[in-house]
Amino acid sequence: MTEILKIEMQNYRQYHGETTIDLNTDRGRTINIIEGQNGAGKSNILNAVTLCFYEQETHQSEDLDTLPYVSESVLEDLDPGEKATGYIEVHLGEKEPRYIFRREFETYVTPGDYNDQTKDLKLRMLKNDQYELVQSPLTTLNGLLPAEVKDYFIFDGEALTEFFEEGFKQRVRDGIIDVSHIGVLNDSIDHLDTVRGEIQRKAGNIQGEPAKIQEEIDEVEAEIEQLEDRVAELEEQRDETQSQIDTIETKLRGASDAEVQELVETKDSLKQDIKDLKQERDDLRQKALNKLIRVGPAVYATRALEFTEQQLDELSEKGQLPPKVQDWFIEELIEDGECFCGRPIEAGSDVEDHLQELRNSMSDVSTDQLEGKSEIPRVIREGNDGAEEIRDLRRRISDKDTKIRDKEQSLKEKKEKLRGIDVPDDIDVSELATQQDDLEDQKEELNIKIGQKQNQIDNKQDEVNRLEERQKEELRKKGRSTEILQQVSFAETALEEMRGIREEILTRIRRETEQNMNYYFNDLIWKEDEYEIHLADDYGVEIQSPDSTDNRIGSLSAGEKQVLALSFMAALSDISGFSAPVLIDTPLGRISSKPKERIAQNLPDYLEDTQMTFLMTDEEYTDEVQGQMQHRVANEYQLVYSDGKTKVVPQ
Amino acid sequence: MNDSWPRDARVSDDDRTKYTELTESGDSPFETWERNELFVFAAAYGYDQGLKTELEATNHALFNWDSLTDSQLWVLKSIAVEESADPDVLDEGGEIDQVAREYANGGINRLYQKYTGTDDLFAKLTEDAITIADI
Repeated sequence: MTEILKIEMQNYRQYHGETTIDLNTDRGRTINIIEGQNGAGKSNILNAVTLCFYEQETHQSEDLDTLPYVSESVLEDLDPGEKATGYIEVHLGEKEPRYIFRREFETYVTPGDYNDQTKDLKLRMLKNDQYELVQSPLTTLNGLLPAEVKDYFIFDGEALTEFFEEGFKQRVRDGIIDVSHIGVLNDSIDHLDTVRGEIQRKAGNIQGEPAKIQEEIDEVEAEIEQLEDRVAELEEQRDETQSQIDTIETKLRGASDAEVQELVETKDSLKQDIKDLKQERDDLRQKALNKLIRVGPAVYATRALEFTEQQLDELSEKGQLPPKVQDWFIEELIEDGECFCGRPIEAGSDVEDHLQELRNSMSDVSTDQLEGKSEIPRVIREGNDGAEEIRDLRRRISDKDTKIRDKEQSLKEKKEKLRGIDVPDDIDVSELATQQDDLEDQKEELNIKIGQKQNQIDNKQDEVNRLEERQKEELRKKGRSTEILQQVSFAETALEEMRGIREEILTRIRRETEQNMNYYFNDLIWKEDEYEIHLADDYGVEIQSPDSTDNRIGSLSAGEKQVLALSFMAALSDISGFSAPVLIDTPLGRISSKPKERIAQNLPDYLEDTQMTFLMTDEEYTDEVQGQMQHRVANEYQLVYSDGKTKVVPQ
Repeated sequence: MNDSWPRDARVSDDDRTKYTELTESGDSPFETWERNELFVFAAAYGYDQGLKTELEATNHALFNWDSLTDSQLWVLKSIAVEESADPDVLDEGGEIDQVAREYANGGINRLYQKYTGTDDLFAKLTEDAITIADI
């Protein structure tokens, strides 16, 4: 298995001077632990690796944006215009380093600020017992761990807590697309779509009605493009707003006042309750609709069903509609020459004559009329029973609505209380709470706007489809441009085929992800019950416990959500096909103490035969957690931070 | 289903667009429904509301008649029997097809009108079902 054997840093952020972290693991001991308090530099080890490989730092924070790459302690002696340099080296291989990746960086001191620059990635590779400089290191890196799948191997565990919050479907979808290697297919589809557009435009060059329609198509497509740009802008604004809400939330949680703490907790809990109740209400509504599909027609047509039933009854009473006896049964009796009671049915006998008469009379009666006699009462009954179930579901929906209103009122009151709090010598709770409420309102408005724009895009797309159909019809009418029509038709068929292939690949990957998530989640979770995870076609995730069929995704605890996200990451890293080492910052995130120990117990089995390096806080790597994992730990380091510098001390 | 039935239930282009929008739009109560399910619902709804509407050019095959369940077929057959006041119509697939499509034509247009209007269509339809049913 390929491992990160060593990380070497020179003057990178708080790692002043030369720092070497040896991560070579032994057989059976595949875990490395680097422990440090918040701010000691754990996340910068994660950043060092991604900066070296991909020229980007995974863990972002407000502080990092203003701090230089080169250690401040080195820069403080320099004057504006002067620069200092540093580098990061990551050694990869099995026991012996086969690949040594290196990225150098420099920081210029400017008046009152810094300016960072990075150099190109360099790679020395072992060939015939000698290290040779590789000309295109990115190609080799892409073979080991391409940028689009790196996030499933090297990631910030704390950020995972939010992974299955609002908007997770998009994140799940993006993840599945990342590991499905369909980039080339997507490019081909885009290209073919462009070609199809060009051919269609050629059709537009023809004079008359088709040309006019082409102009309309171009106009509507331009409008769609504008709308899509607007949606992207709004989504960016919404994400930014959410990030500001999260920042305020963290600040409010950090308040020292007990009343504030309690109000923040209650507010969050009420929000979660409202979300769950709305989900339950939507589920009930869906159940009612599913019922309405089945029984609605019977209910609306009750009058007709009863009339028909009465008509058939009258026919029956008049003897025009015999009891429902299958004609093949009578034929068999005559053929066998024996009744099922044992009495013989002789040819030419009165009994046989009677049976023949009955069979002949039946052929004059419609089979539908016979069936209707038994079917119609059943359809009416189903309609009435279904309506009763709908009535019950509506009552339950109404109960949920009442509960939602009550909780929303409580939430409003808690928010008002929080806005009115003034705690001397603490954070400005009132101001922060007001800001948070305003931001939440803004987010809601943005969501509505996004939905509206999305609808407009859908409608415009329908319009384009209709126009294209009309254009084809016009061209056909003119009996010209057969070749162009054939080309359009060919491009459309090819596009359809390719989209079909893409969907098939994604469906297969969804199924594999679902299987893997079930495996990892049940492996990592501290509960004995076997949970069932479903990954739907729309990338929604459902979790069911053995005692209920309800979807628990909305009511998972922070710890359960963290485990679910870890399972998703593991599922994707498996499917990606790359056997790269795993590096996780704060893997146990905000998980509370008891479940933390239990996850720690299962964590060594998280990804077997994979080197795992965990960057953990002292709150995560407690004595109990250490005890659970020790038998699998190869290297253990402590980050010691003092005077703006961090030393990596082996334990 | 005997040979007198046509293969497909055909609707106009305009109605086809409405079926598509009602079964595909995120804010439609019929979002998860199949088109044949919505057709039968629209026909029964149109019958209840007395909305039999003459058919225009029906260029589009919406679904295959064979795809309906027995219960769905009996709803449509019964509407045709009540319409003609003659149970013999049960043998006339073409006649049932015509009556069902005329009611569905009126039904789908009214449902679409309500969907684009201000009413809560889900509330209205489920309330109707409870009121009409014998419960």
